[in-house]
Amino acid sequence: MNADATTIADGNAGGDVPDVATGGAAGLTTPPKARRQYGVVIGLVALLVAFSIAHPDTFLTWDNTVSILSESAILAILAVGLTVPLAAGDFDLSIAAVASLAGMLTAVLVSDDGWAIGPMFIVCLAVGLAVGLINGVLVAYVKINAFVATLAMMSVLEGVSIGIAGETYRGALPSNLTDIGRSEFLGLPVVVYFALVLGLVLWYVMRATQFGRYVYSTGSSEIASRVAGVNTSSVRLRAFCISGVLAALAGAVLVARSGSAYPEGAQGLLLPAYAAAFVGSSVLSDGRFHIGGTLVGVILLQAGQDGLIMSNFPQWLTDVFNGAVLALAVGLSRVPPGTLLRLFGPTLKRIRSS
Amino acid sequence: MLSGTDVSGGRNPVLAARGLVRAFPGTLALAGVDIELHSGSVHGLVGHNGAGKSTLVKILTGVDAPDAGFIEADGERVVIDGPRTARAHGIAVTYQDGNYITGIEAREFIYVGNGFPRRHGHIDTRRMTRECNELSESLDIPTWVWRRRMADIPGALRKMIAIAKALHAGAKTIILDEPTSGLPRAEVEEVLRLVTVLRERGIALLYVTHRLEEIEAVTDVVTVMRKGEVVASTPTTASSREKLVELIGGRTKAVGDRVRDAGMASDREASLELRWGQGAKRGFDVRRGEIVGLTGPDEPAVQALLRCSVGLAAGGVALRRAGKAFRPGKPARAMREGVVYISSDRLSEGGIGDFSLGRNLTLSSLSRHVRRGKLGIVDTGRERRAAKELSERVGVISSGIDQPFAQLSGGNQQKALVGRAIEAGAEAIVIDSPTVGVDVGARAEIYQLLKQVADGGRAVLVGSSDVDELAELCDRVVVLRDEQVSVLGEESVTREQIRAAYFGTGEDQ
Repeated sequence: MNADATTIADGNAGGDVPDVATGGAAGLTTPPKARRQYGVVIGLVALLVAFSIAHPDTFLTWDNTVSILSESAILAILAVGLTVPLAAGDFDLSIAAVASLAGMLTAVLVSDDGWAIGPMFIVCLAVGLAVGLINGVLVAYVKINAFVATLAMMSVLEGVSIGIAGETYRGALPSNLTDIGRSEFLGLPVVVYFALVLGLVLWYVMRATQFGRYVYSTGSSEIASRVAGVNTSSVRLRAFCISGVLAALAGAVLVARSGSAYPEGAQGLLLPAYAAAFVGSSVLSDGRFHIGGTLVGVILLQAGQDGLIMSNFPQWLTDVFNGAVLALAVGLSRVPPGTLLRLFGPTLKRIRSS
Repeated sequence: MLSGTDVSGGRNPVLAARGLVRAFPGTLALAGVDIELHSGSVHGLVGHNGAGKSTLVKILTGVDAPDAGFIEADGERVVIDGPRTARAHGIAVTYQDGNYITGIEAREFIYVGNGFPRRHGHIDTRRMTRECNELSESLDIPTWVWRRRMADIPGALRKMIAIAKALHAGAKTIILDEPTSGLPRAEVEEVLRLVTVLRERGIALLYVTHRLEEIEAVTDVVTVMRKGEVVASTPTTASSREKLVELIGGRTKAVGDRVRDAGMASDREASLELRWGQGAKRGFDVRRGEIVGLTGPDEPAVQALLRCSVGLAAGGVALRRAGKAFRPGKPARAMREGVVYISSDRLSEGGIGDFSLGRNLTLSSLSRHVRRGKLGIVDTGRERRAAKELSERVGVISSGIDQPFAQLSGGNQQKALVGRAIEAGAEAIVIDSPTVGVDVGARAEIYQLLKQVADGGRAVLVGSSDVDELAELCDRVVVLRDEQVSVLGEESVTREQIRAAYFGTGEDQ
């Protein structure tokens, strides 16, 4: 079980135990060092440079930067949470559904039932934690493939969201909620600081704590970590709890910012969150998932989307863009260096000479 | 020394290897091997693990390619570069662990890879049934197996179905790689009977086994390999078990082993005790300050027993640590009881390959380097000092504790894993094949390290199929053979004793 790109390509993030009988001379050969390609990151940066040149008066401005950062904040909260189970070697496909549910719950509690903001947030986080616990138990203890378990959870949560929504839509939410989502500090929305602080805390947890170390060792090799005495089941469970809680938080903040809630309001964030995490994993040379990389991925992705819209590309192209970035981030990391040159070198030469 | 004898009667062999050489980093797996397989003859192949038997089988079946030498089929020089060409030359193999596709029916298994019979573009199931029934008749396999899933068929019958598949594919040469490994005695008879049926049908057979009584029972010729060379090839009737054991072992005199006093540990308390079987009758213990070897012809069984000690395998084994019963459940819990397991598969089950050496050394004892009362934050300064000190203590040669674990040599990885176990507070270390993939120089260092570990009052249980290793390293050796457990070395242990128990000489004769 590897927390790298091969996991998604193999479609299996489960902890497969190697055959007991094969105790071969593994020590004779060292595995090839995982090589990462910065292709996607370079490509995205090149795209942003292109946008800056094409729209010097609109794209590369302080206002637009603020807009990109504000748009990034919610995706960032979702994606850094996702990074934890990914680093532990597990997929969590339920995050967007958790966010949708938490958003819907926020709207219903505050506008229908008149709850105060504090208790409402606590209930949302508790729901996120509960979902994470169930995911974690199903995956780490019942040993259901994480892909399947969280896909099932996604569908369950979508159903529940529609159930509690009743008439399916909540608009014009009270200002005590939207004030939080829309308030600003030093020219930036408060949610941006909030996402940044969350990112920093999680970055420190993953980097400096025993839990973070165990997450990475489990993601690198679940069985080797287990043999070394790491309680990998507990590590995986806790990773799902983190992604669940942060997803719920992202959902609540989303609704607080937009002032309206749909039962599947956050579903569109699932793929960008994965794309950001995978782009982020290609920032480091060893291809690990890590919080800093994910944040970079979120901003690159958001800026790319922003530029596409600014260049008057149709709205649907955003989805194509997100999907292509995810596939390329995974795909390019598996291509050995030099292959791209060999593939495109002759074409480039032809273009240049003509 | 027995001399090579021509048993062919002058005919061309169906399959022959000529001067096969195959080198792997650090070892010469085959050093110029010749072997001839004749129609209607069963050719036994024996030798220790690492003697080169499986490399030979791999080359004959096109899984591996020789560095020098070639293969002849029906007197013609051929190149076998894969399973497809092997099949084209009529060569089939049944592997020890089966590699069965367990989710399909037996009759489908017969055709997978060889093509299903077709009729009007559909699979002709009627013809499949007919052909399978024919196979049943000629090989005396019960017809009920064909509609069962492979997973639901007992071991011996599965082996017979694999042989039937080879026959159906038109094999002229069938290689049986330890066909009776893991089978109970009654079922072994069934497999042996099938072998004689194949011989009568004019198939050339290569019979690879650890069980010398089967060599006697069923083979016409026997070849002994040792360290990549054929040391004898002789008609079976001209040999004896004792002679074969001697040939397999090479040296007949143990030199320079057993430096530790045999009686030393006998009065000490048992550190780790394993018991199993009905009424927990079978079993053995490992005492404090003692190195015990565990071996046996059924390697998966030996490995499973070692893994049971930390809960990585379930197997009805009752464990006691320092006289107290415990259920490991999982390695983390076994570790709290002081039992640490080190896998033979160092890269996938040992270290974390993309972690540094230092982080691997402290992975099992990380909680000791956590700052008190501070949310599990690791004191990396203290952790690094501990890792550095430990790395020096166990003699890991590296560019520093930041070197990635996967880049270390096999020997240094092993030292690091032993160090990690010590640091985790191991009282009993269970280590499987400690020197697999380790070069000769580092091997001695690992033996030295394990002896130090034992001298420090810990118990060490070593799984190994290398007789030299067992004799050199261990105070006592436990041999598992069929249902039998032999404990050697209350007074002394020699290679001859180990071999005799391993190959089953001296009993039921």
